[in-house]
Amino acid sequence: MGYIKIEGVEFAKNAGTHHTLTEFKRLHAWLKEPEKAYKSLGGTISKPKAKKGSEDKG
Amino acid sequence: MSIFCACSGSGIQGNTGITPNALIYKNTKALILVQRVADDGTANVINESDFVNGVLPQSFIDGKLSHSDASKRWFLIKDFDTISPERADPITEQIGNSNNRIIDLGVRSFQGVKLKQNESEIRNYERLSCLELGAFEIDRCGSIRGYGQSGATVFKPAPVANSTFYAREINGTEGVSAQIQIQFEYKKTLTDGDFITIPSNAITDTDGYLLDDAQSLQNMLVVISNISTTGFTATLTVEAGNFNKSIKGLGWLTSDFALFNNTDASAVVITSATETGVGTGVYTFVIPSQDSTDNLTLSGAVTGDAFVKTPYELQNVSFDIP
Repeated sequence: MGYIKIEGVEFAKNAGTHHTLTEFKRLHAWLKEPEKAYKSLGGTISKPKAKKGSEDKG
Repeated sequence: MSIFCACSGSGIQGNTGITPNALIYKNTKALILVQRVADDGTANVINESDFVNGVLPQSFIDGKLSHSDASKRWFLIKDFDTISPERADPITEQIGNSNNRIIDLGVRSFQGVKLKQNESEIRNYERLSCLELGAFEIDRCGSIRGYGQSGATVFKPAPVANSTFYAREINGTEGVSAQIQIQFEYKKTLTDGDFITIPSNAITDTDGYLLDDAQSLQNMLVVISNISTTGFTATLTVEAGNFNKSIKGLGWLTSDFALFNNTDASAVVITSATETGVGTGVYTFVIPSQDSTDNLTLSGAVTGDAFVKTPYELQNVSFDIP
């Protein structure tokens, strides 16, 4: 089992795969950069889908 | 045991020549108590193969002191101040011409005193008193004395007679410090000639390691609260007999803990364990979501056979997810 220290606290290396981002942020409200921590722990943040018709058409 | 005459023919005679550089064991300053036979049936001994280049490594000793299996653990008791190791006079009978003929050995006993100790130690000695113990004695040079014939390949703890190990607290007075007195008797199968010693220069590369730096485990007690499917709070206190003024368990990291889901029979990877404030001993645990009614057990993490966070044994605590 590997661990990574983030903002002074040890996290399980793959912790991001066990929580949704929303849950992870709620349970670690003290983190200054929760998204960055989540990603470094193997969590995947899905990109928001582009809205139809929003592209520049030139 | 041989009451002076050998129990079996060894071919070795009672030659009385003196070896000038023979090791002389000095006064005892510490004890290592150990269960003579572990719960899995293996004997708790030191083998020749445990030595590396003629030295018993510190890693070997530390591994024994913090062994996660208590039946294989070494319980080190240091800083004895007054020791009275004695062999009582032999038991004799007078028959025929009225000579006192020796028919049995006297009991060999150990009594030692530790000064300025906390009486809560007694609880742990009482727990040990129920076991079939053996003892390694450590002298003021750091040499270890155990049980085995010269030339043996196995070094055993000297067998302690069952139900003889006892500890008591002696109150301090204006002129005398508070004391804890420990006493026991060795089994009568042990003759004084059965003792054998590992010299201090064959025990780690650090002089007097067992007397100075080596540490026996302490009990770390745990209270669980605020349980949810994704976490709980654990309050850690050292067992030290302080009512309502507990000594906090400080500086624990996520990797020092282990969590097991007893319902699913599977290990739970702890996401994080954060001390809520420096010096509080209160830890907020975040865990992957568990099912309601699952039963979990929190314990100290183990690497190999030894606890990660030394010198502590986190007392296992089980709880249900609401």
